[in-house]
Amino acid sequence: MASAGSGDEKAAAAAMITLISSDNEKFEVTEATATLSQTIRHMIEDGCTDGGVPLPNVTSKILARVIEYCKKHATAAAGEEGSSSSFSDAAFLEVDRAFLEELEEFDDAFLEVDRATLFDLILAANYLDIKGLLNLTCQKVADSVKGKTPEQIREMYNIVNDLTPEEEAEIRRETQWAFE
Amino acid sequence: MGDLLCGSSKRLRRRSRWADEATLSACLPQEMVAEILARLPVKPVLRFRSVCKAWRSTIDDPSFAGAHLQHQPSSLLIFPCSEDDDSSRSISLYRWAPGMPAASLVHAADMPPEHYWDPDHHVLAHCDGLVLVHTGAKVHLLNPAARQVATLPWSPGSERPQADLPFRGGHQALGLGRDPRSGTYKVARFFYRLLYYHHDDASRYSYGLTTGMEVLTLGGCWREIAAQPPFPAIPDRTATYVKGSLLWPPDERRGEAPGFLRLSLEDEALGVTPPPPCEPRLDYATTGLAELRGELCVARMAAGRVLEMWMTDDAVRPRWERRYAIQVVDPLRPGRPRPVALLDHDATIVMHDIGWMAYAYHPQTRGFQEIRLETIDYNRGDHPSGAPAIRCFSHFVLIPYRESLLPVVHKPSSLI
Repeated sequence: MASAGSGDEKAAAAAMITLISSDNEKFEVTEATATLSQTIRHMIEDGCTDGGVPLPNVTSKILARVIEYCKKHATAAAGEEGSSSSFSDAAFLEVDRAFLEELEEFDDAFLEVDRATLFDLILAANYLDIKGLLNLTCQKVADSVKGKTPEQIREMYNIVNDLTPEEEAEIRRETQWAFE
Repeated sequence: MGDLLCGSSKRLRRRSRWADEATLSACLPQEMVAEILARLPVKPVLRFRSVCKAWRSTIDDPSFAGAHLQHQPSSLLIFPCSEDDDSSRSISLYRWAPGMPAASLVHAADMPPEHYWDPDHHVLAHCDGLVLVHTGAKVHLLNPAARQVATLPWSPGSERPQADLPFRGGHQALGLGRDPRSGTYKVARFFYRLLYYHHDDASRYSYGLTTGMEVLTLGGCWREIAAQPPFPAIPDRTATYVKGSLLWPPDERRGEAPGFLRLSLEDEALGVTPPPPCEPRLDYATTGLAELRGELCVARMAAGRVLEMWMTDDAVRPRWERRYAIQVVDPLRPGRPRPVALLDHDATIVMHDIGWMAYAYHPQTRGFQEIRLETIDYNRGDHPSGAPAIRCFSHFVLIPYRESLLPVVHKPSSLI
């Protein structure tokens, strides 16, 4: 049962959690959405979410994006649970596939942000311990640097080369083929 | 230093929109750099050691290779064997996965086999990006992605007994795995040897066949373990590594065996892993044995061309489950598909049949697709080897593979 509708119905019955950004903006989300974050999941388990969860490391702009991601993927998680028992049914499989494609499209569109926002999302995903989001954002950066030279990397990220010329020459000598 | 990379690791205040790209883009703390580098293939990681000191020390940290491995996609290594005069002495390994437009050459070297490449001779084994190549006379250890090669030292167990053995084929079976306690990688060798008995007058002797097991920790030398294997392993089959254990199918030519021969790499103790409770009794010589995402899998053809796959997550005290029963429809091909690898991005199980045929099985859709190994584009790319392209395939060897930074020679620093 992977339709978006069934996920929302489940969510509607669930408890709500309030998240508070560093600039004091409040966001109401379902528990299913919030618990994609392991950090928040532990807070809920410890029963310390009354009066809202302050997130002093995350701005409202970034938190809004993170919640957007979690909402979409919480629905996906609910869909997967529902469908696992009947995975052999061809009709459900079609729904699953369509939904997975939709999710992939969502992720692609989600990553259409400037570099600063992408880095803020990585920091937020790390702090909130959201594995899927951390993977998605780090992979995006990794893909963008994969073909670059060390000089281009330094330029892109304002890194000063503090290696001595001898050290640099040694690295090149050890793995010359990696520079070709 | 790393500080320049992350500015202050707290967030910088936003200035004008125009300053963003230059200043805020540099705001990435060092631990996040490790997260990003861990998602890169081996080649750019080695290149980026020369970005700055902080990046170099992140990459050189002994714990980084392990974290990096966790993020590398699973794929296959294919060794297309040939009987061409010029290419049958060398070994070329190509990396490929279903859906890739071409297989790319990752290793090519002159590694002459003792005889010729025999389809029944398992020349390759894989663990965490390290590849064992067994040419019969020698054992090599490669890291194809990092372009490292080591040849393991000689040992008495590597010598085929001089007297006639009471069977054909090789006398040894190798395995490669990781000791989960020390984190070191070990190569194990089961072998047959002859023992000579001198008679009282010392001028006459007779001999008998015995077996042994020896282990080499990477960078060290071979040590024979005290215990004798309770029964022999099938020669020239490399072991399957699963959760700290190496498993070999037993050689039943001289008597029935109670299961698979198991060596625990942690305490180097020998044991037996009972087979799945299938009917009729398992024929080990024709059974497929593989590790699929941490589980042990035994695959065999049952009556009516049904491929049964039995799985367990405990190689020591297995509770076998008959997970898949696949109707292999093509009656013209009397093959026996063996599972090779489970690819993690779409859970495809890749199987290899005799010769040129492989299959991709999708458990969710139960789709069973043919892969014709000879039609794959074996792309030599920019690899600097002088090995000749293969004109005529004889057969293929397939193993699972995942790129890694692990050194083929054990680094003393990580011994601590």
